[in-house]
Amino acid sequence: MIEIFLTFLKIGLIAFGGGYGAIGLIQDEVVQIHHWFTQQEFLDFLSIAQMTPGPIGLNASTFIGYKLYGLTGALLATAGFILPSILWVYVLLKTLKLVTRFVDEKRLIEALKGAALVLILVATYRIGSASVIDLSSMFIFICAFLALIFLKKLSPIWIILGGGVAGILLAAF
Amino acid sequence: MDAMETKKLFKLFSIFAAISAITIGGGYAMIPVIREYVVKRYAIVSDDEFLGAVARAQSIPGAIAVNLSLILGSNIAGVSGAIAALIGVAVPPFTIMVLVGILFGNIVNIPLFSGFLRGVRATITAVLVYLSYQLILNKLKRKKVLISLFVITLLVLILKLPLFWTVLVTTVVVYMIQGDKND
Repeated sequence: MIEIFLTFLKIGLIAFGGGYGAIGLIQDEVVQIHHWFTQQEFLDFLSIAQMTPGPIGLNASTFIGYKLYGLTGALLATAGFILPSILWVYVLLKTLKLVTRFVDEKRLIEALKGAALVLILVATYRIGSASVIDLSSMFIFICAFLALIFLKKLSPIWIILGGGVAGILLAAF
Repeated sequence: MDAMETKKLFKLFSIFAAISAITIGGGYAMIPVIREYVVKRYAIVSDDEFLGAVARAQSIPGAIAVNLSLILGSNIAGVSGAIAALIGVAVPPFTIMVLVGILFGNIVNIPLFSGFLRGVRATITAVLVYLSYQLILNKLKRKKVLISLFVITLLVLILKLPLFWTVLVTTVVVYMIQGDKND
């Protein structure tokens, strides 16, 4: 059980790019490395984490922990995911002046953003290739993408719910 | 700890708990809501301070909302403020996810709901593609960096490299290859 804690600790430690960066890492650890869940199960959990309130990385960690070992698992995964944030906020941000004596701050931030982009691109490919699989999912994907571009004022939750409802309708007919 | 202090900590906790309990759509959706509360409604930090905190929260690993709660809490009321805000952010999603796990353990097996999840997944893909597109746009001027990031991504996908080590190596590689502003 300690493995859950350590796994999420590892994820939290380098989850650059926020929740969506974390998703790529969670998928890597939970599906590819530990084989705790199949890709399909992971995607179901991810959809649930996206539809419930709160940060998506945190939701996904808690839910996966719960699915593995109940309440204890949920606590361990959540704690593992959050603890590195405390470390980063206190250690990195307080010692930033010291760090910048040896490395160029702008270049470092650029490098970290680059790592975040890799995480997000990998997550996009892995989630996308398992989610956009037929004509109906392709149709929902294109509509959602256009909505994101042209309806900037619309809260993303409506787009996500709309995608879900469209999924039911297309599955029914 | 006097009464004033306790009140301030409780306020921090309740602001972050309320935001975390109602905002769907992850950290990026939460930023404007947090701003609305802490800058406009309660005026406990200035807008400049808030935007600085957002920039720092984004530059370190972890959920942005979690990082932001720690930084703002710490700015407002030190270590105990950071703890109060963090508990506020973490407790509602934790409770909700565990409840969902208990109540809807087998919900994914219901055909209607699995159709719903399939639709949500396609939408999440759209969100991810849109996010990637925006991040790539920001990097267009740095062609060498962008191309190496694409190559690394392809290597990860083809060779199934572990992401943990890839992130560390990518950080070093990108740090090394950025020369002048023009490349």
